[in-house]
Amino acid sequence: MGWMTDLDIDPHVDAGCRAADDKLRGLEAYLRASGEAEAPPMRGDLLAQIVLSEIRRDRPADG
Amino acid sequence: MGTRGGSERVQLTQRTRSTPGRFAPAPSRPLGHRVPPPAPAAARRPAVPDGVVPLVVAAQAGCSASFERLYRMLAGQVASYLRWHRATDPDGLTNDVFAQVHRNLGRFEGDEQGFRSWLFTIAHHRMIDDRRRVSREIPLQGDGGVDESRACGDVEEDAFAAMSRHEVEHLLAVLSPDQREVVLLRIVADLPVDEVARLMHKREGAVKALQHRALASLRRHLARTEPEPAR
Repeated sequence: MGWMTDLDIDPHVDAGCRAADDKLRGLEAYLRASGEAEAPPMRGDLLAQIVLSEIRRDRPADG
Repeated sequence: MGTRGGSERVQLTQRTRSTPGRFAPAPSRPLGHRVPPPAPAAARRPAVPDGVVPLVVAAQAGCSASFERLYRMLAGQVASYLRWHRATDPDGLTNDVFAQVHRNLGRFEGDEQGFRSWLFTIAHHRMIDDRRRVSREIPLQGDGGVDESRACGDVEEDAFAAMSRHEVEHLLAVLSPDQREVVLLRIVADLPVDEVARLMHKREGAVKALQHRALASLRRHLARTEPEPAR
């Protein structure tokens, strides 16, 4: 939880603040987990672009 | 980003298309030696490497499978970053981002951090373009965020149990646009402060201050809205 390590947590916080910090940690974990979600489908035009690029590079130069 | 130097940076421009041994003389075989049948096409293809830097090098050399793996490794983070920013079509924009990465990949030099930073710089610009196209502030509500059915792992399960997507959207809406940008780049894109500063055209101190204010705002908001414990 690297982001939360920047928090200056007061050791004398009351229960309400501790709950808020727990929620903040939950927010960080949720956001981080959202980035680990599956990649969206690759669109056909992007796929075609990278495949065509590979074909062009592999093709011997004309002449 | 790509053109910056650094002692630990790996030069990614080195091409790996050479085919070792291509012009070496064929080894002599004893008469009657049985030549093994050619391997299937899939087996003859070079193995797709692991890790961002080797994948970038291979993709720069024109290996489409390596670029596809890069996409699978990083597109989820890009889509999530765009989704939390309420982009109109996060999945489509993610494809646009990677199309631009692919077009300019040959000019990239740097390490993994540099590549991630370059990728999210492009995503950031796409997000701003999208906002301009929509030309109005998009409210942080409605569908979007995380497909909760796709999460896995203990940490994620705990996070999902503790929060709902609606709560996360509500909390992000508490932040100013700059604070939200810092939070998303630091957490979702996993970029260090110096890269966030460069991407946002701000000084590192300003980014740290934005992050600190974002945390303070969120904590204040949460402390205010936290229900009283039952007596």
